[in-house]
Amino acid sequence: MLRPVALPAPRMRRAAGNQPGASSPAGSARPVVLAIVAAALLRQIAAVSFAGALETSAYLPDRVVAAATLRDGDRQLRALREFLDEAGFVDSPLYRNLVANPGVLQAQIGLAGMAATAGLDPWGAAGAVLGRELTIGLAPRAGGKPAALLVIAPREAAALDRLLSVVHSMTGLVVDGQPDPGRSEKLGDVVVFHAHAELHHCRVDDALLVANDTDLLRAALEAKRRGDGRLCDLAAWRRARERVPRDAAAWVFVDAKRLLAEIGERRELPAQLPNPLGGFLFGGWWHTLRTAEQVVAWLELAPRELRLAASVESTAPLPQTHRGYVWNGDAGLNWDATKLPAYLSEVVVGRDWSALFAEREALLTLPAAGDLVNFSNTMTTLMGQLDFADGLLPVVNGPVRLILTRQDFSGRELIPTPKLPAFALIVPLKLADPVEFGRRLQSASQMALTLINADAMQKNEPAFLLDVDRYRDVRMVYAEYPREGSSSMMAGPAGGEPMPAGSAPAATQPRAVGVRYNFAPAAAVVKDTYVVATSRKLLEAIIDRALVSPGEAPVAAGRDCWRVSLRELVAVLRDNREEMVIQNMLAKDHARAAAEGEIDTLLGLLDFGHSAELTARTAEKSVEATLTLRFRTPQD
Amino acid sequence: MSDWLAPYEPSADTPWNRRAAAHLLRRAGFCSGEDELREALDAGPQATVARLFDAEERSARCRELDALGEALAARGDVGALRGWWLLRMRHTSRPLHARMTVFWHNHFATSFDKVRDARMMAQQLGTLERHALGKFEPLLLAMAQDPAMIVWLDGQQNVKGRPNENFARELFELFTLGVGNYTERDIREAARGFTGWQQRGGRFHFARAEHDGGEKSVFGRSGPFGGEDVVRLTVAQPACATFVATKLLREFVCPEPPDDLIDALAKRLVENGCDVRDALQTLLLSRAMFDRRWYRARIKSPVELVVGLARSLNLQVPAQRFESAVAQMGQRLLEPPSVKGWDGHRAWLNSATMLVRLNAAARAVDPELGFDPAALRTKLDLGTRERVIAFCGNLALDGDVPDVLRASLAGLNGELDDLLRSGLRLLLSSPEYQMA
Amino acid sequence: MTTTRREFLAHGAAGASLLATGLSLPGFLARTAWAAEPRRDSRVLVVVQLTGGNDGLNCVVPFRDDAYHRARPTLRVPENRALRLTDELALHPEMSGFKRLFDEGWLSVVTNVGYPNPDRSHFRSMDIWHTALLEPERAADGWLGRVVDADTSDPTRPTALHLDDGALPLALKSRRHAVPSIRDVDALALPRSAEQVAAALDAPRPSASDDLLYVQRVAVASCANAARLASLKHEGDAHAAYPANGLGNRLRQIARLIAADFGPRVYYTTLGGFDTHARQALAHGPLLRELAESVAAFYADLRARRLAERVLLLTFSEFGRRVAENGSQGTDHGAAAPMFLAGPACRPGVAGKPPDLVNLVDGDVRHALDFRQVYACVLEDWLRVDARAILGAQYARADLLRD
Repeated sequence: MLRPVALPAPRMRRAAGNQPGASSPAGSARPVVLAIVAAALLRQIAAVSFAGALETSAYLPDRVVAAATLRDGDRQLRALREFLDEAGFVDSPLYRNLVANPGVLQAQIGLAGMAATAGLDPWGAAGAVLGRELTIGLAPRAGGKPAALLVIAPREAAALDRLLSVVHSMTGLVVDGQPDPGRSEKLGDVVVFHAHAELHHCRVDDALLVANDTDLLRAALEAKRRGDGRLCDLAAWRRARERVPRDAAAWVFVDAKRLLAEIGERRELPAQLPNPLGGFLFGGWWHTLRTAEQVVAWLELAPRELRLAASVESTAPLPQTHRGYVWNGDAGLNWDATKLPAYLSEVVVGRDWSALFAEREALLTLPAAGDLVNFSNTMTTLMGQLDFADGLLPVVNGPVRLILTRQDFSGRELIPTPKLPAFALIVPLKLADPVEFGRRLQSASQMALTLINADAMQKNEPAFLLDVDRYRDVRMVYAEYPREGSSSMMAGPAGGEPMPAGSAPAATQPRAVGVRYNFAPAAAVVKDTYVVATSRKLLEAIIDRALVSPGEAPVAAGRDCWRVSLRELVAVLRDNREEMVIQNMLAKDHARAAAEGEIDTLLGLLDFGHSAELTARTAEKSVEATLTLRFRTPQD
Repeated sequence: MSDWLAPYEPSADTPWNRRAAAHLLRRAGFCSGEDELREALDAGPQATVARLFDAEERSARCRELDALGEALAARGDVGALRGWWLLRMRHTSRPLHARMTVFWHNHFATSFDKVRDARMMAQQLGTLERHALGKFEPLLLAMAQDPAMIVWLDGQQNVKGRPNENFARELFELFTLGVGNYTERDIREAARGFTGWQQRGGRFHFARAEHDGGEKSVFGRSGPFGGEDVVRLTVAQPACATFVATKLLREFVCPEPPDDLIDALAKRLVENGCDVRDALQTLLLSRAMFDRRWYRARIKSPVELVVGLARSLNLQVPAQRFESAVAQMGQRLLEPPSVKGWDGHRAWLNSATMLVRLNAAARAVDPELGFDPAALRTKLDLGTRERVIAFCGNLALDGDVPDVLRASLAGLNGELDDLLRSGLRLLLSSPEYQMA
Repeated sequence: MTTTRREFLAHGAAGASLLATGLSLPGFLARTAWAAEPRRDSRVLVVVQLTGGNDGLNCVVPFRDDAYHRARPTLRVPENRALRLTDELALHPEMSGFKRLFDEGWLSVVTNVGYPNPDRSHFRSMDIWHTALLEPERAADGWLGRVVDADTSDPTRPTALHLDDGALPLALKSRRHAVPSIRDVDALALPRSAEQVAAALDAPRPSASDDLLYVQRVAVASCANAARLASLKHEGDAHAAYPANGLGNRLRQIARLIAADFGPRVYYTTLGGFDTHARQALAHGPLLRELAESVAAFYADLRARRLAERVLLLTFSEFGRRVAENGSQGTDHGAAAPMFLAGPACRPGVAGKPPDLVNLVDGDVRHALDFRQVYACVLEDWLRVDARAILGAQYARADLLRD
């Protein structure tokens, strides 16, 4: 039996049943490849001193407006190989699905063939290409696609040269030891090969240069020779370089000012976002991006952790209309959502809501502002006596939180499809008269539920039963669906929905029902926050935490935050595996086996993860964001 | 022609050839691929028709899909249900069954638009499928007791003392007899017979208290009739056989069947106790079925067109695309325009729906739906230009390619794979391909 | 080339072929020049449905009526901002587009339109307007769907077309025909294979059956329509500056379809969001602006294309709002309200009296004109079809069009 050749683990373990082309075809290979790249970064890479070594960016002429550098690509690849071996990747169903994909298999064989000719193993060949440092620079070019220049500094020039000579002779660029004169030229003492109109390369000093544009390649050689007119001679670049930690594995610099000017010549960037929610929440970021001077991003690796940080700096401070986006108040959060049972995800967004609503026509396009008003009106209608814009928004004090937890449906009679998480919106309030306001919110909640019910009944859908209860001395308004076999009038005779008394069988058999059964809203004023949740259980869990929390401060002040437990996410997806398989069968006209293969590949991929967190801070002239991915340890 | 239903005997005038076999498969199912066609050619008409009545679902894909029905209905998503139905037609090994199910859906046209309950619609579909090729009376009775039908034609409101005539009227006018074969009094009395036929929680429920058990007089017969009696008396009316025969002939033979053909099939239905299976078996093997003048005499319904494209070209069509293509062509399944169903034939076409049809044909041979000319050429040994062109003509037009199209085909250039694509695209876009 | 469409179709049916006269595609597309001259004989009705219940009193404002100002303490349109139509009625200040049309004599305001025993459910009242029946449950088709069924002139043309998101409205449901419903005109694009198939579609078929010839005729006509539509797209279609919003965009596409002589006699589209129970002022103004500016641009476009005379536009909503505003600076479901007719064909001015805000029925404006009288006028005097047959009863026609 043929073993797949390009990605073998060093210690070859013969696993049964992993023939390439076996019966379960994998889906798109793209996510899988991404997973491998991500996994590669799990390993800490020793920080390397750059003293004396060539900086690949020294080859980029100052026409370049964006540059990305990868450091120690070869070592990271080696780390990946070790990690995969340690994780038993070759024995995993994920790998089996992967190599069953004909495209992946073909690429493996091609790469292996070339590497073998150069006397390298496939990993070595790939490592030689990634080298010690690799930089890609992009420059604007007339007529659409940008010019790109790739600079590779190999760790061992000899290995790269061997590989290069194989490529040269295979493609006929070098014939009998001599460059093909029709497809090469000499610039000074450098031989530049023109493989085709969009692919040119040369070996110079200790670097390999590849470009899709001869002019850019020439400019690069010239700038390097003169030691002037290079990207690294620009003050902006140096400033950016300063910000990047020494041991970052990769970093990106974008000369946003020039890039935006370039884009602006082709297409006017709108001042406002067309999407009402996106514009309302992120209009400040958009403003900073539109007026940005430069963007720097970098990637740091720690054991089982990957951190991507980015900073956008602008010269234009946020205008007065946009001040509501800067939130400098206290985070206002004194309990940690990640400690909730089955915690899945949390979003924290701090804004001066009332100020933003007042400035909506400056922040949003006219239709989007209209949509926002419509939304506000709908909310006002729902809440009866409480005006959303004038009554509620002004008393919101601090960041709003959205929390998701996984729902457990075991023991329930009615099992919704798909099974969605419960979520809760938590709005902090600053109140002169909390008791009175609590009463108004209470009646608003009741009003809203009544209206939702009226709507449901008009559509011949099942309605909620409304009730009020106390939990830990907090008054809750909550809704629930009538139980199977209950004689409630609300149950209604709508077919397929709960049956009225008499005709229901013993009501213990779980039964699949529609998506709306995921939600039975519950609301309460808990301390100085208004909490509306899609399940009473989640509301009670929040009351538990909010009342007993020992002054935790889970989120840094002034930062937006989105985080998700990938462990719980996988659990939610696994709960819905059958549903996803059905969707896949219909959406792609797949047989069940193929659909299951695709879904399991996706689940297997996510299963490497532990958690993800994105935080962002909006300041007057900058936006800073950090994305942290944590990966699972075998014990997790 | 006196004996329309006499068995078809292949002759010089109507030989059992590709054209005849393709015609039969298309009328009793969908456009078929080369494998299916060759099998039919070899087997001959009798064995082919026998196979069409096969009770076993042999497609593993279809059986997998069958198992999803309940889950989809529970979700309440009627769009997914429509796509699912089309995918099953795409994969089934029982195309006649599939066609008859759509036929009955059009006959007992019930719309989700009023029923508003995907589960009931799925349940009705299941009932139609079970009775698709059986006797008419049990089917009719099942429809009279079908929850979706009860909601659709106001059975819930049909109660003792205040009969609602909606169902009784459509029963006579559209399901069994046709205008002129009943009186207003028959409707009123029949409606009383169905009082108390309700649905509860998606199941048939006989509400005894709401039922009018008094004497009724329907079609000149009197008694304390219940719904079952009305159904029995209705099916026994001679007009019922004529009505059903006419509809079957329009579906399987020609849009305007001659009277003596209708009479012949109606007679058969009267004799066999309104056994649709038997009547259809006879019809599919009759002289009438293979009469030359009815070759390509019907305009394909959107379902026939799209499912036929997918089956004959072995395409992988996402359910949602399937569904929206058919809907844009004017046949939104499970939502017929009225209780009369779709008129069909010429009413399918106008300059907007035609564009959708032409676009569907053009896209069918694109790579994105999985059409693979290279594989097809290898499998069928299409190594020359002539063979490729002949194959296109066979697949799309039964080898019966009009001269004008032959000339257009001859003008096509390109590599063989491209030729296969462009040749098919040309023929699938022809007016001839719109005909069944 | 002066061949008319009808002649062309007649030729097509006879088997002789215009398209096939030695055409490759460039020729096929160029051929559309033949049809660039739209038919001058046909009339088009464009229906704009205002979904949610448009507040008639703040749309056509009885600014002289104290009862109005009393009933609307926070929502009333002050006299100095209203756009005056007559001594008693004025338009909402955001409706300057309609004011321009009115001044040109291209707008007719029909007041107090409704029906007896008004229903205040969105769904049921909308169904009543759609079916033109007070018991809409009995109808399987809509009033315009019945127009479609009654139209026997040219079966290859869709008589009506729905251009909007969402499902086909009941008003367009026909018993016999598939009324096309599209999101945008791209759905009517020429098949990509048109170059290859045009000649094959069009070639004469001497021995073809009537049905096959029919199919061929529809296919050729639909490709020609689509080609004309495409060529209009290339020429850069908007002859007027449409506002960048949903209705403006849809009316621009409808103008293009009319210019391409695509066929329909009835176009139908909607503008939603009129259910203004709270803080009405914030939402209602922009909606009225969208309506007025879009319709004004539509007629500017049609005028530039010299098509305006052929097109009548009608707006309706399922009901008006209550006379008195509610406690949330909004208004609740009401009854009678004004309708608008636009286009050079309408009889300009205000038809009907200002609403009587003293003698209310149940807190609502009493209807003075049954909407079916407006339908009857549009059916008889504009579309020239038998209104009685469509509406199922004889209604006294409102006199809303120029003679």
